[in-house]
Amino acid sequence: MTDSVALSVSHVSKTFGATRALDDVSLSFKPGRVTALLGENGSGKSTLIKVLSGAHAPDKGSASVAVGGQSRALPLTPRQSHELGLRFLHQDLGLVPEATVADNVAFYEGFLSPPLRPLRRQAEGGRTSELLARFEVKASPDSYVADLSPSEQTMVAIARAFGPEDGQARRIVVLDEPTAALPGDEVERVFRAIRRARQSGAAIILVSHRLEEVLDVADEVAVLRDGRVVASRPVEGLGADDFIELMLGHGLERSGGADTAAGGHGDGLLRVRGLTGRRLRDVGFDLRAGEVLGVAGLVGSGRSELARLVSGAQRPAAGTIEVDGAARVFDGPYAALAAGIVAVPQNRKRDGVILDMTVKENLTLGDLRPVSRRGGLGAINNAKERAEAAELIRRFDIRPPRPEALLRSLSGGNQQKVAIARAVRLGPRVLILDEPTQGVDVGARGEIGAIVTDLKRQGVAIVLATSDVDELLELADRVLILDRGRLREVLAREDITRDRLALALAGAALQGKAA
Amino acid sequence: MSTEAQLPPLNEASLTEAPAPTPPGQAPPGPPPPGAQAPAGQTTRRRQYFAQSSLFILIALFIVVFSALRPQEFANWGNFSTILYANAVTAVVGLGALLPLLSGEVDISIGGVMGVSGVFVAWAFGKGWPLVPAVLVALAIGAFIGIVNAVLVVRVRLNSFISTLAMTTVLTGIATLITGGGSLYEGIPVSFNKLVNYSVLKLPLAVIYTLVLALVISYVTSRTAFGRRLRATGAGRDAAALIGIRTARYVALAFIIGGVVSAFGGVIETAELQSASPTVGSSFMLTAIAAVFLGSVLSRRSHLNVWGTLLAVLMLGIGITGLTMVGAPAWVPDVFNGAALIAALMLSGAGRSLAATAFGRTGG
Repeated sequence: MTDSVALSVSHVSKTFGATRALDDVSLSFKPGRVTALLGENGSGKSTLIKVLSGAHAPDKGSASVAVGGQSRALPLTPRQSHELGLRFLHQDLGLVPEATVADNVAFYEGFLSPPLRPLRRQAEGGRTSELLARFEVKASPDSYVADLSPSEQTMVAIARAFGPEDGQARRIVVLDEPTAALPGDEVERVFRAIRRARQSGAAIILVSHRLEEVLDVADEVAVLRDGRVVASRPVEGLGADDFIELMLGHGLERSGGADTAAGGHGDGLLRVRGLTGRRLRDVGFDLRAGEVLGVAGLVGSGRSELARLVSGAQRPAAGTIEVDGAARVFDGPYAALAAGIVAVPQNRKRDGVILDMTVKENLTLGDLRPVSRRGGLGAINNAKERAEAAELIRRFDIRPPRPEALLRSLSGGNQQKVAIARAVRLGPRVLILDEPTQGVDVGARGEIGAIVTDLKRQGVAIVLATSDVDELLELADRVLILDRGRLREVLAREDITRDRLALALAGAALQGKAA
Repeated sequence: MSTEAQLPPLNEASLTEAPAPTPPGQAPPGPPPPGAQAPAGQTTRRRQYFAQSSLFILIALFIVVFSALRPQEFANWGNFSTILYANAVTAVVGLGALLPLLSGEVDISIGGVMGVSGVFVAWAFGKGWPLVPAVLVALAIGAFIGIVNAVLVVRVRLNSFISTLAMTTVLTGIATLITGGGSLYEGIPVSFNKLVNYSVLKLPLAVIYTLVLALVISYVTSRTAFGRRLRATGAGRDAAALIGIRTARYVALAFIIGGVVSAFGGVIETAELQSASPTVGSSFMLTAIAAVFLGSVLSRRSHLNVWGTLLAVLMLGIGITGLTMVGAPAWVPDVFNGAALIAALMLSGAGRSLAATAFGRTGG
């Protein structure tokens, strides 16, 4: 272990409403070392990163950050963060697609000429080619980012984050799941880049959910759980089991509590074969009435895409979807709806509800026929509509219980209940829930779980795509594990345990070791 | 003879939303303790009531001020009826603009549409066409341009602001082609003018047409499933599509119906003037779109709506007529129009989000 410290944060706390996302976090990161920052979803990793990048201000208190031994109080502005030598690779890369690679580098490093002088294209191109060559990026400085493949774009962003050689020793680079969007064979290239940057003295913070990667490239590990630091130590001597235990605490033995008796019955209601989309490759499964099929996978696994493909929101590149034995091609969500497939999409505010309409209007929008006279141009019967909305509000316990409340004024959990109530009202045979409890408070979580169990008893087939392990434990009869777009594993009811799920998600390579 | 009597405040809010005892977001269940109301809430509510009634207040203010300044010319039914008559076309074109805006798109070409259809009617009369086919073909032209706009926005996925702006230029050129550059007035029968000028119940027919059209569009947009889906398409395109609404169809229909309505405006304009010139549409377009946004102040939720649009046209019309009567110089009406729009957008808050979605989106 080296004595010098590149970056340290002290006493950082951050509260969102009633949730303590970070609780007095103090960590230090060494130059020339790769520190893996680990933790389950909601453990506070991304909040910590956002505090460092200046996107979040920590709670008032003695929070401070020290770079190269010089301490300063938080919060930082994004500009101050940049000036301190902090660089971030976010999952969305932060590249301007309609600009060249050289310009994208210049947005970060500064242009070589004053603002109103002609650009020094040659010099900037030279600087960029050097950078690209060092990180094995095949793109030319003059190519537009939009024309590059996703992998090449990721590499450009990584090269840019590490920056030119001369400044590298002072850099602190945070990589947030840099390999999530990459195919397996490209991952090694990212690792070579990381090792090279480490050699020149940069401090690297790597966020990853893949234990194989962490074991492969990290020197140190810092683990967050419920906003607290539960470990900060060298990787040496740690095995896969230790990692899982550090991340989860002591819940290793817990198994699912779902209603195993009602684990689906009858013939296959939904039959999917060879389903292929942008990331998803050749995924197939059967779903029976009254069955809850969990779909799990890390960011970039194609989890959400599977939900979109089956619900008609995205057209498959290949594959078949059969409902009751009849092949169906959905050219839009309305077609899936006609086949009895209803979805509650992941991005609630954009896709799930209409914020500027009322609760009542949102609830009935899916099918206005029951509440209006004679088709599209018949008047909507206000009394009937209100009564139907009131009934749903009561059944799903939507608060405040006012049909005329604007959806925007509801809490996230209640907005989600509106989205689910709207879907259930359509009487689906297959209900697709994509991250149904994301951004939802604890109480509403429980209620949504109860709704799912209830629908399952009524014989609705449910696809539950989620990143929440607890949700799978509680509700799923089977779990599909997706990895980089492919179906890696199907866990049967008795195999759905916390550690099995955690291991399967962290990468099947470790499966044998820890089981 | 206040306007409130003729235009019942049937805004969308009162049609589709039950009057809530308290505004959203601050409704404590159970009766509030007497005298313990939050002062902040009261201010917001007062501001909201002020915003909602601002059009009425302005109209009343104009009537009082201009009647005092010009009692002879301004304060009589004849003048009021003239104002209504002169602004009927703006109101109709505003209704034509309203439909695409409800679907989340903007149609700048409404002015061009009214120009072409107005010129076409005059041309057809000049060629000896009878009234009915001349008017029907003029309306069909509006529908056709609506279809072209819809294809460009929905299929080709052009930004509606840019593509309809380009369409305006194309249409102005076509109108110039039809007229050969000047104005057309030959062959337009006097009876055509009677169709808009004749008074029923002391109101010119043009005004009655406008009110009937407004009633129909108000019913369709605020009471029917069609209108509900149209508004959902505008308020949350992605969510609406995922709910199963075929949003592309609704956007397309909004453009087509809007085109027909604007073409109707062009026909009325030619009937009122007894002549047609190719450049007439552009001046109507800005005022009409401004009126639609201005009219949103009438709705508690800042929704665009039919009656607000009509009231805004009336407010602008009264203001400009009054200003002209008291001898304001020629530049004043333009500044008045623009300033009124900015003030309304600030007051309602609708302009910001709505204009952002309507003007910033490429179709779909």
